[in-house]
Amino acid sequence: MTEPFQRAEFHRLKVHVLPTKQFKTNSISLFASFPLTEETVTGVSLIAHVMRRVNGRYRVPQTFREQLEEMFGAGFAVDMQKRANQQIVCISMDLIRDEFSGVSLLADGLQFIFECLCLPPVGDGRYLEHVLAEERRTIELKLAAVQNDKIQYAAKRCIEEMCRHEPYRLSVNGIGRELDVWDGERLYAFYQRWLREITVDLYICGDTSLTQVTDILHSTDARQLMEPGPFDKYLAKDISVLSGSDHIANTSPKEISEAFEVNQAKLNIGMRTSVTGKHPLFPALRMFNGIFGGFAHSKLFMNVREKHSLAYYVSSRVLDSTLGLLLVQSGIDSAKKTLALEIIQQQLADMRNGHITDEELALTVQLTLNSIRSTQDSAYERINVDYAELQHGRERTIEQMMRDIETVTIEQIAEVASSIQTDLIYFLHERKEVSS
Amino acid sequence: MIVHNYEMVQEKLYQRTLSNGLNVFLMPKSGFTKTFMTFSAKFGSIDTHFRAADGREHVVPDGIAHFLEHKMFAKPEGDVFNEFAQQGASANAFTSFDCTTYLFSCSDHLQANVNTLLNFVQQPYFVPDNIEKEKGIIEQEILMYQDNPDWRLYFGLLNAMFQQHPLRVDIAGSVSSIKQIDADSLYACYHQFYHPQNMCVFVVGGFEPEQMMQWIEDNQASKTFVPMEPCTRLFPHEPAEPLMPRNDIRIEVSQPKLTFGFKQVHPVSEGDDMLERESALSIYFQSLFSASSPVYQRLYSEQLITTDFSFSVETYPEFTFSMIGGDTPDPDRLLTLVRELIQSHTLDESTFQRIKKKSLGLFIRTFNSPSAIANSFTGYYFHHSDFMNIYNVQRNISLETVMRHVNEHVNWDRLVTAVVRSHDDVS
Repeated sequence: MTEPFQRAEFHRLKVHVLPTKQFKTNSISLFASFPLTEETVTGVSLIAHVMRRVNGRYRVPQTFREQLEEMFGAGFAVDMQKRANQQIVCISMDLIRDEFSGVSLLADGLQFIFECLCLPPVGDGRYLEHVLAEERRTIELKLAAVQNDKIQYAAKRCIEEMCRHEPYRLSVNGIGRELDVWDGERLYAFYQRWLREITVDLYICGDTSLTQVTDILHSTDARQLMEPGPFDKYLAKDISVLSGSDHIANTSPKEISEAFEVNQAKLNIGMRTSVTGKHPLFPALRMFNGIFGGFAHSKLFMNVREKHSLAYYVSSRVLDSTLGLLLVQSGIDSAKKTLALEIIQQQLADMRNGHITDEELALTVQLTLNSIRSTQDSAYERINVDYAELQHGRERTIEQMMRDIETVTIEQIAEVASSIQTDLIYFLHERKEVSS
Repeated sequence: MIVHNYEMVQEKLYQRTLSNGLNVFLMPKSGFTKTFMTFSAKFGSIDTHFRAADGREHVVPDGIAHFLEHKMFAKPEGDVFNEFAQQGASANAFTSFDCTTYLFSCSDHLQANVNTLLNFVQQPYFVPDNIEKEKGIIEQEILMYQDNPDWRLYFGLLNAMFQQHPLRVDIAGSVSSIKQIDADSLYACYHQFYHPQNMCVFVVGGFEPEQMMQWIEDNQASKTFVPMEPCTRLFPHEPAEPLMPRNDIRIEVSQPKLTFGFKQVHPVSEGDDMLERESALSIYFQSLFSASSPVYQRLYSEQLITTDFSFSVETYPEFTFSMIGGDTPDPDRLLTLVRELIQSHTLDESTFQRIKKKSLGLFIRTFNSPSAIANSFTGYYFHHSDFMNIYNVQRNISLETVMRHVNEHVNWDRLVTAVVRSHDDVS
């Protein structure tokens, strides 16, 4: 029986602590969630990018990093993710445990994280201009660099087109042409709104307890989130999430082909389902994906790659479980597009008709259980699994998740397959020579 | 079974060399649900020329170690991935310059998976039909990597550094070299290098060590092995000078990429010597290029580097090379400025101590990851080094020793640069 998270809610801060000595470190993840919109996405991205380098106390990048090194090379990262129509900033820290360092780092680490979140690097009512300018540039380059990784680029284009009318089309890194609009003053004003409206979940996995963490938090900048304050009237209303069934899928899939500098063509397929994270058949969706294209024995792998040698990589994944989006990705010879597409569509048709062997089911169950169990061997995976569960309004234990997988039937998988509609076929191919 | 107790990371390592020569290492980690097991052969992409015990010289096609790794999974009864999957295990494999590793992780049916791993790697089966089919797949893999600017940059640098040595050749070979691979050459490589004396097992995770060692011994005892025929791995003479100081590669990118490094040819050095060199250079380059360094912050604020800027040091018995770089709008300006900054940089005592603290933390954090432990350990093992000894080497290394290694490595005559730019970039 795996240890459960100990939880407490302090006004605007939800704290989840998993006491364990299994790892050499105390791992911390803080999730700050805010609505993903075209008007604000770039502002949030700038806040996150600046946060990686400086905060209100360590206002020079060099001293910020020196402090992390002094904490025995503490791991530190600020990432962003999107989930349905939310843009989530995640600050994580990895501190070696007291018995390995000879000192106690947890209090310093938590103080550091909350200085990053609650104490921005400002002066005279504006963000420090030189760091802000550097991060505008960093984001600009990052956005331009997506095209370097052709696989990533093809996936991004497919999502942009498929979700044309939804916030999910946006890159969490922001919109390039908006960067210059965000000066230090505007960003600070937005930051204050962002801090008031974010939903904050703090996770700690390590050799500590909820009581110890709570004691520490009261002496950090987390205080302002933990006690009611004058700005509470700005608390965000409950944002209803666009769920899979709200979206009207295309009756026949759209096809988009684009030319690019690639040696190998990329064929991606965007799909939608009404079976989202809150749906009772959600475990069957996970099983669907496993059989369809999630493993080396999957239908896509066995048919597109092994049987027909058309691709080195071909797979499917659940892109967003709240929206009900799936993505098939493959790298093929462009001349083989029609054949590859036919084979892929045939696999989906087979699954709709329940053509799934007992062996396919058994293998997928085994590997899915292995995958679920193996999350227990990583602090961050434990944290991420729990956070995802909470987003779907659940709080299952690992044992319950495994039972849900074991009881999925072929009929349920076929039902899920029938709920899946192909929304977009996206093809990125090499430029053809045009003879005059 | 020998048991090593590593107090500083609170881990135990069990070790035995079996009668057939196989070296087995076990690191049980209580509380972990998974077991991660690797079975590796000291045979990689650089081993394309060897003289067998009978005096015959074999020259095999580039990419054969990687090809063999792919083919190993195909058996008459079907693909081995399926057997692992039925036993609830995720399997994988990878080929590096000097090593091929087969692995699985599982939380159930442990004994069955141990036997599957040991058996499938010890049962070669190469037939013309499935060899031909694999060529199509690997061709796509090679093309996929050709589309990756970072991969092109990495090999771009190696191509410029090494005149003759196979380190300059892509690990998967080329579309034309793999066409020459046949069953005979696969078997020749297999029989020479996939002998227990040339191999290593590493198991880490939630298992019981005495029982695990027994399973492995029983499995090996049920098979017969003739003693390994010694072979000589043959490498061309590699001069100290690089092939060329700079390599320009054209592939579509949003902005140019630069990597540069120092080529160092030295007398054969393995074991603790190798660890010391690696530790020294790692500390030095961290003092220059990690985000806490004034050099890094200057380059960042002059917008010459971005968040992907990184550095590494790779050590082999006869070579050490460094690689530093990332995206940059102006490779030439970056190179000029970096050179100035390196030449005027000194590593002071307090920075040195802080970096040692950081390195200690990073070493300990490795032990959160079973796969990192297994892969690191095996890599060092094949160079007669003990991964666990990095702790002591790092703790004891002095600033003088660091600078001695730096002075041997940082030789501006051996600086090599590679730049990736778009076709239409005329700057």
